[in-house]
Formats: sequence, structure tokens, C-alpha cells
Amino acid sequence: MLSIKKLSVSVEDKEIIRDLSFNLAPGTVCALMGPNGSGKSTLANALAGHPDYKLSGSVVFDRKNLLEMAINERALEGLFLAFQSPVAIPGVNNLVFLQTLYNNLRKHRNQEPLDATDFIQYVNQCAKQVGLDASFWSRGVNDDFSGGEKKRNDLLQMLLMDPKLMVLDEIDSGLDVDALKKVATIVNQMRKEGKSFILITHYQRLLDYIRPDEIHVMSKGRIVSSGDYSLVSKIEKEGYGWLETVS
Amino acid sequence: MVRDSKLSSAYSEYLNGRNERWRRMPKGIAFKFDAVVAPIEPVCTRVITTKNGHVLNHSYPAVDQDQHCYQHPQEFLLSQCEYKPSLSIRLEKSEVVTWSETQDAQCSVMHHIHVKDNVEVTLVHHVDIDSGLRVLNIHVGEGAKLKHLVMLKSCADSYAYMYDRVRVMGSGVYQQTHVAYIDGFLRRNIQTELVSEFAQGVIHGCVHAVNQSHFNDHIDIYHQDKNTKSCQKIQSFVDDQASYDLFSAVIMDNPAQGSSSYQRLDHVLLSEDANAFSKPALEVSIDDVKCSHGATIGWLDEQQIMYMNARGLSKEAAVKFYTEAKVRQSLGHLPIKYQDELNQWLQNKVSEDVV
Repeated sequence: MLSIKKLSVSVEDKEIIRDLSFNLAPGTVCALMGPNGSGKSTLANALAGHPDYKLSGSVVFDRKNLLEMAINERALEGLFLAFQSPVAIPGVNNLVFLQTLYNNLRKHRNQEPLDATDFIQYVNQCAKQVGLDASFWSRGVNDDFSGGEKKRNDLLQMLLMDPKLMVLDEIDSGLDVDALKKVATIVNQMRKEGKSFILITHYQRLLDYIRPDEIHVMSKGRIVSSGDYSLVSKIEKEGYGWLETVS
Repeated sequence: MVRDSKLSSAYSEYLNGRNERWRRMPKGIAFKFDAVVAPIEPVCTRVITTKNGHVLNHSYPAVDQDQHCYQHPQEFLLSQCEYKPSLSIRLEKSEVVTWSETQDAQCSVMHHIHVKDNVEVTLVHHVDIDSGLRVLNIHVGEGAKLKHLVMLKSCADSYAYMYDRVRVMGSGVYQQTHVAYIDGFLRRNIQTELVSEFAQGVIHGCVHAVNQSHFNDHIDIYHQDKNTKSCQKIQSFVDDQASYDLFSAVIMDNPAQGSSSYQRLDHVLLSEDANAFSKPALEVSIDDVKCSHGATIGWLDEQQIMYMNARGLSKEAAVKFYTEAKVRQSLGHLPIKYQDELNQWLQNKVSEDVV
């Protein structure tokens, strides 16, 4: 699904990620952990195609060279990034935005666009899974949404776009316990369908519900430790102080 | 269209040197409105088509074709020549009227619209102005309501001046919603006078300026009696090397106590070479009034574009989607039918430009 080899990412000539390599098989969930500033979100944004980042190395996604693809092409080909802080777009109606991105995707897949009636029916079904309701349709995209509502709205977009690989950047921040369980249900359901996930998180709770297949710990732009779920318990108990000896 | 050398040089002089003459033009000297003679026999129809002040649907022989001043706007302003109206429209019952107006000669024309007391009229107004001077006098009677929906197109390389003067009587409402596609050089004045108590003036606009156009826009609202209300909301998109200067003023003087006004001017720059100037002004010389105003000018937010890109929309599609959404927001107060009509009109013009 995803193969990263010797990836380096720099912003304004400052190298944030150095020689990072890892693979992700279809249907697997990998958790990316690490102290603040270790480069987790930079990696997520770089994979999504953030224009401010300069990349070198190789990233193959679904047998295609990801680095040659524009941001929107990456999304259309099945890479989804749930942002750490989704931006608000006041004035742009949320429902119209959802319908536009969904029909744009259908067009890319050579499918007929859904009309408004059918789309509302479909979006309502998806919205139930993430705990949103029709009161969010008439508002601007993420406009005056709480932190948790923004995350739910991103998850709704994820369900609509039905991607192959999802990068969820601190999806658990701002979500209540019930919402966390819903996220876990969605992730567990989708991994059964062969979808892959990179979960960026600081906390054990979400991982308790999901039980990722691999854990990678990043420090100073590199993966310094990889392992199974026991690594999460170690971080929960000891923090990240032990990373200095490892690196 | 072939331009005379004087016109071309004035146009290029402005573009090259940003001549400030138009901007500094005193308000008072523009026209001798008081000298205007009474309107000629009125036109009453649901569909009106005019060109350079002539009525093209000939069932109304009320217009004298010799009533133009064939003069360049600046010459006209300087000479203060005698001026006569060319078209008068009297709206006496509640209805929807469509008016298609074209002006492509270097002439000066004046139109009058008179809305009778206590009627509610929707005027769908297509303005295609290429050259010359056009003056529109609107009188909204007591308790009357005029919904004026304007689709304004200023053609490429055009050089024109528009002056709308609106007088709203007691409890009358003038509500203008315009979408403007600017591709030339246009100076516009909208002067709204809220003459009597409880009169209301509302100006909502959405402007899209492209290429090397320049739009010099003055919107003045005069509160002349107590308990009057006004609202201005302008949203603009300035693309390519276009520039948009918007001067908006609310003037409240004795006896306008108890009046209120709201001004909101938002400009979005779509290219690095585009520029916008905004001046929301309040001239309030009395107490007991409520006014608020604000203006923003900024680039299209890159984070927002990135967010839309990350959801599969290309950059062009994201910008188009964003501007359309903002236009729809600006037209949100209108019935869906008119929202669609105005939005579609503007998007068509923008698409034609891209093609």
C-alpha cells in the first residue's frame, strides 16, 4: 500500500525529517508516536502534498510515485489526511462542500454524480456513524465548530471519500469517549475491508480500542523505535526520556 | 471598437500613472440635477430594452431620440452642459419588470424610475455598459419597495461613468443587489438619500474585476430623517491586474436621530498583481444613532485552498468553488430563483473570460 524509502522533508531549508523509511501493507494500522516536534505531523502533511515542504527520497503509494502527484490527485487516488487542526472556511456551505467533493470523486471514478436528494440521504447515513446531524449542513465548513466537531466533520469527509490509506493526525484530540469509540469502530471496520491507517497520537486510549498492528516512535525526524503494542505501554509508563539513549 | 485618441490617452494615463483626478472629484459638481426638466411621458411595460437611451421595443413612442449629449464624460463634467432626461419608467403596480440596458456610444443618457407609493416592484436590470455616461434617478414612494437586481457588465477596454441617484421616501425601501463583472474602466456613484422617516436603503453587491480593469466605486448613503436604516455589504474578487477602489460613506446629520447603519466591505485578491482599496466612512454629526462598519482585504487563504485540495479539488476548482460560495452568500437574502439567476450570470461571465 505504502512504501517510504529514505524520505527527507525540509521546510525553508530546515530539515525536519531525515532518511525515514517504512512500509505499510494493505489492511494494516500503524501508530506513529513521539514527542512534540519529532516530525509526525510534518510527515502527514508531506504525504498529503503540502506545497511548503520540499521532499527527497521515494514514496510509492498503491504502485504509483506519490511525489509526482498533485495534492488533489493524491486525494482522488485514495490518500486521505485528517488534519490536526482542520481549517474553517466561513461562507462555504458545509453540505455543498461535502456534495462537491463527493461528486468530484465520483467524476474521477467515471461515475454519475449524485443529485441533492440522494446525496442528502447518503450523507445522513455517514453522519450518523460519526455523530453529526443535519444541523451542521447549513453552516460554513468547520465554521464555529468545536474542536471535536471539526474532527467529526473530517471523519465524515473520510467516509464519503472512501480512501485506501488514511492518515489521522491526532484524531483523538478534542473527542469525547463516545466519539473515540465511534472512531475506533470505523477504523476497525475499514481495516477489515483492506484499508490502511497511519494513526498519529499521543495517548493510549484510542490505541486500546484499535490495537494497531505496528507502532513506530519518531524522534528528531527519524523512526527510532518500532515494535508491537507493548511499546505503547512503555511510553505510557516511562514517557519519551528513554529515546535519548536509543537515538 | 475604435477609440478616439483623447479617450485612449486618458485611459492609459490613468492605468500608467494612477491619476487621482477621478478619485478626487468633488461630489457636488457632478451634475445639475435641479436643472433637469420633468420626465417626459413615461414608459410602462414589463420588459424594456434600451440602447444608448433609446427604447428598442417600439410600442412606447415616448422617447425623443435627440435627447442625447454626445460628449465624453469628462468633457460633460467640465462643461456642465444642459442635460435632459431620455427615458422615464413609471412603476405603478406591484410586479416584476425586466430592463436590459446597453450603452456603447460615447453619449450621456439619463433614466428616471418612479415607484408609486405603496407598491412593491422587482426590477431585474441588465446593464451592459461600454462607453459614455449613464445617469439613473430612482424615486421610491412612501411605503413602496423596490428590489433592484442589477447585473452589470463593463466591457473590456471600456471607459464609462455611471451615476445612480436614489431617493427613498417615508417607510419606503430601496434594496439593490448587484453582481458586477468588470473588465474595463468604470466609475460608479450610487447616492442613496433616505429622505423621510423609516426609509430604508440596502446595497448588496458582488464584484468580480478581471484583466487590467479598474473599478472606482462610490456608495454614499444619506440619512436625512429620523429612524432611517441602511445596510451595505460588498464582496469583491479582484483578479489578474485589476484594481477596485471602493469608497463607501454613511452620512447622518440632523434630524436623523434613531437611525442605524451597517457597512461591510470584503475584498479578496485572487492574484498577486490585483489590488483593492477600501474606505468605509461614517460621517455622523448627531447623537442617538447606531452605526457599525468594517472592511477586509486579503489574499485567498492558502490553508483553505490546501484543505480543499486535500479533499480532491484542484486549485482552479477550489478557487472557483470558493468564489461561487461567497457569491451565493452575498445573495443569500434573495429568493432562490434570483440567487440562481444572478449567480449563474456572474459565473458565466467569469467562465467566458477564462475561455
